[in-house]
Amino acid sequence: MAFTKYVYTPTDGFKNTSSFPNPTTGAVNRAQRQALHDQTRDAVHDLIDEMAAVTDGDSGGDNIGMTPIPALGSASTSQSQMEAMVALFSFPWATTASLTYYVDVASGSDSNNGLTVGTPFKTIGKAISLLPPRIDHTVVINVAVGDYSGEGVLTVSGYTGKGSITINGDTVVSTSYSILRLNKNRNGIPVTLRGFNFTTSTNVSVVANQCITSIVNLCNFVVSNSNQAISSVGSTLTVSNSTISNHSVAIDADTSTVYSNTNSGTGNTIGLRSSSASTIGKNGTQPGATTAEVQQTGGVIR
Amino acid sequence: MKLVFNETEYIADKIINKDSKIVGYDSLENELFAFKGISDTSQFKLYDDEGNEKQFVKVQTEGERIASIEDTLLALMMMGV
Repeated sequence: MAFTKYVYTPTDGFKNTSSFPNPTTGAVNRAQRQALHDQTRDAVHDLIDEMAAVTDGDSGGDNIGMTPIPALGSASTSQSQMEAMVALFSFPWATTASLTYYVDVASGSDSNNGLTVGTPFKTIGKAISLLPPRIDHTVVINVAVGDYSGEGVLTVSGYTGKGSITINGDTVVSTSYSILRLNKNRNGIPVTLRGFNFTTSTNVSVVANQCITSIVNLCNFVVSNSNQAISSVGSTLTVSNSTISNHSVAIDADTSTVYSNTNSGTGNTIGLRSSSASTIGKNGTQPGATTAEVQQTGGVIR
Repeated sequence: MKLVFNETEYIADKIINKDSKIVGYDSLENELFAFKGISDTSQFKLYDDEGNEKQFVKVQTEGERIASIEDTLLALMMMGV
């Protein structure tokens, strides 16, 4: 296989200067472009053939005396590299339509496709793992009743786009749709969690870190915990219609904008804490605490 | 002055306890921190600059001040003053 080296110059463009003199007419110009295209195509095809021969372990005449292709390494390595490339370009990078997954810890299987009530996943994590990083449509994960605490911390991280992600559990403040805890991290789209009972006693239940429009609705945080129930750092967060009890801080805002709307609960040490220039706007009832509100380091609650 | 609450220290030039609130101010009367809706003040410890624990001086509300004046006037009237 022979490669032709092309040279780009501002005056002559991208071409082999020895093979392609300056065009004198439009027809010559088009012919040169076609020739350039054909040569490029043939070169790429030759390269693919050679890579296939090497990765297939072909020991026939094609490979005799052939200079090894640099950086390809052994046939097995090349094969794995090519498979990795295929996998890379096969994984969807963005949603192309709205998407709904179903999860049921009792009857589901992570070998299912998760696309119908009858073929649910077993874990919420499986559904999350299939989401592409760019969400341009509405994504809903419908979770059936059950205890999902065994999955450990759930992470919704790094999603961007024009769409949204909603994880639906119960339709009331839940005691029977249980998860351990949730981390939302650096999401540029709305991520809603609705109708879950949090079971952790040793960590923050919900962390929203650098997230846009994070929503917690109809959630239950009543397991005694010396940490915050909900911690927002550098995020915009809405917490509504939820019950928060027995935590050191029910809703904690740091460099955030938080809306606490009609939440309840008892036995917290601090109800709302606004720090580092955060704003917590409140409406309706708020989680009960021995100290209802703390404003510090430029934070306000209003 | 220093206020300690929930294992955190809050420093201010002036710390006021009023109407279920504890508010710290700097020397220019800027609010530095505020605790509101306090139902148990025993969780708050106040210290002076030398580290001696101090008692909160509760600032009376307007209603409390009026009631106090009325009580004093009544006592004076009963004394025939």
